[in-house]
Amino acid sequence: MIPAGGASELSPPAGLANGPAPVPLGSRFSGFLFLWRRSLPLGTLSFCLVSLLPLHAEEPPPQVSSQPPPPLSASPSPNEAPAVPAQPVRPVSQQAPEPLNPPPGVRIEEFIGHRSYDKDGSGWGWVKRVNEPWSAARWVVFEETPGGVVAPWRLLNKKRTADNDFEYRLRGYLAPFSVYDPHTDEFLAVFVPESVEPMGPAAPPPEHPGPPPHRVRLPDSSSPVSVSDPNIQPPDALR
Amino acid sequence: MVEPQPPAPCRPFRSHPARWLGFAVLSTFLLMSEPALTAAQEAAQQEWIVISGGPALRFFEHGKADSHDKYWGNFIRAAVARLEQLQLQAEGKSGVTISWLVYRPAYASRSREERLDILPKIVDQANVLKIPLYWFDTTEQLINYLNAGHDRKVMPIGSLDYFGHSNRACLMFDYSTYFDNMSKECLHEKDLGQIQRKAFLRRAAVKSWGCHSGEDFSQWWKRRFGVPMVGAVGRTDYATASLPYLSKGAKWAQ
Repeated sequence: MIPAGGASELSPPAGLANGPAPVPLGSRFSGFLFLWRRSLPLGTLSFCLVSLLPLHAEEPPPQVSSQPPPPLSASPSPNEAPAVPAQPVRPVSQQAPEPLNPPPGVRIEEFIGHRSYDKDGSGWGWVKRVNEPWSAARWVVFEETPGGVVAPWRLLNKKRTADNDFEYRLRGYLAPFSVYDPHTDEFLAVFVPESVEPMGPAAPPPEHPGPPPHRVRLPDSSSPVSVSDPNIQPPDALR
Repeated sequence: MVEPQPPAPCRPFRSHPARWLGFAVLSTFLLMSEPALTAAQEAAQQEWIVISGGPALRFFEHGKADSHDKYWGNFIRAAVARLEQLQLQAEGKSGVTISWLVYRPAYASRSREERLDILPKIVDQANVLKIPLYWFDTTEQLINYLNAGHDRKVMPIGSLDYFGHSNRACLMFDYSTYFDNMSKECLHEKDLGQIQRKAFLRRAAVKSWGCHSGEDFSQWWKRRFGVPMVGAVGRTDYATASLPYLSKGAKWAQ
């Protein structure tokens, strides 16, 4: 059987290939030869001491660094070539490449969106029209278009919690259909965005301090909900 | 050796009006219902249907610990394997029509994402099998086909297999196709009432090859149609590019 990356069989082990090169014996014992010529006992003593040293004495022993790890910075030092394009530290504005074409009877409006991460489901946050109170806000799913407008957290560090409790000025419409969340067994409203403009971090609206409680069905004992996505946890009732 | 027992003493027959009435009602009911049952159970024609749901977009699934549908054809290859089985079973039987229903939008989206023309590949599979392929774009279209794709009085559904995403309460024809971790076109157990009871033979063989269907959906199905649906308690795995198998700890139930 050819292993994946079969060429690795012919390569030296990583530790040998990447470790420090062994020191030549000539340079290692040059000082002791000088002493031996001057004084036999002193030379013999220095030979014994040098022989007791480990072969790779120049390799520093592994230490637990007391220094904190380097901070995650969006701007690497000029000497380091960035391996991955730097992620913005703040949500960025987005605009759909083409104007939306909402279904008949639906018009594009201005909304305010409050991102509220839901560990149990896949809803995005609360959305209300600009002139409405937060009590009228709806819990929505954010429609994403690959190559177009996506959920803002995708443009940050790709963690779903990256923009929790951040507010946005949104332009778009509420879709006339709902979508099914299999993790909470609920149908949720959909917001279709045309543009996203970050406003800044904000405290959760008092009327909606977090995601809505889920209408989970009572499980039977033989069928626990199986969720393996670490970003999604089963609701408390099913744990 | 078992000693033959003496016959029990016969009781003298005594006429009882209530018994006679009950016997007469029961006989009448059986005489009226038996021809209908026989006709349904031994339909001259029947349709065997295989349904393929669609794959997720890699855009949504890439990077997840439990990433779904790295290969776009999981539900196609499995369905083809099942169709081949059904063709063998149908040999020598007259009046059996085998049909394949595929949720098109998910494969069209995946085609755009992978820059691969997937739809003709599915059509080719159907052509090789010489089986009619029906695309559906919405759950409503699927339900319409089940109810009236053929005259169900003449050609009821004798077999139904589902390959696709599912949980304990729902068959999801798309998952992470339009919305991350979510489904737009699905058949929830509470919507089974939209499918007519008479669409199925009383002895129809129904199976969901998706995850978790046997935990709840199967019971709702049985209550609605009187026909059992075999489903998995636990997860199923499509890694073999053939019929899926049960994941560790899972089992089939109905």
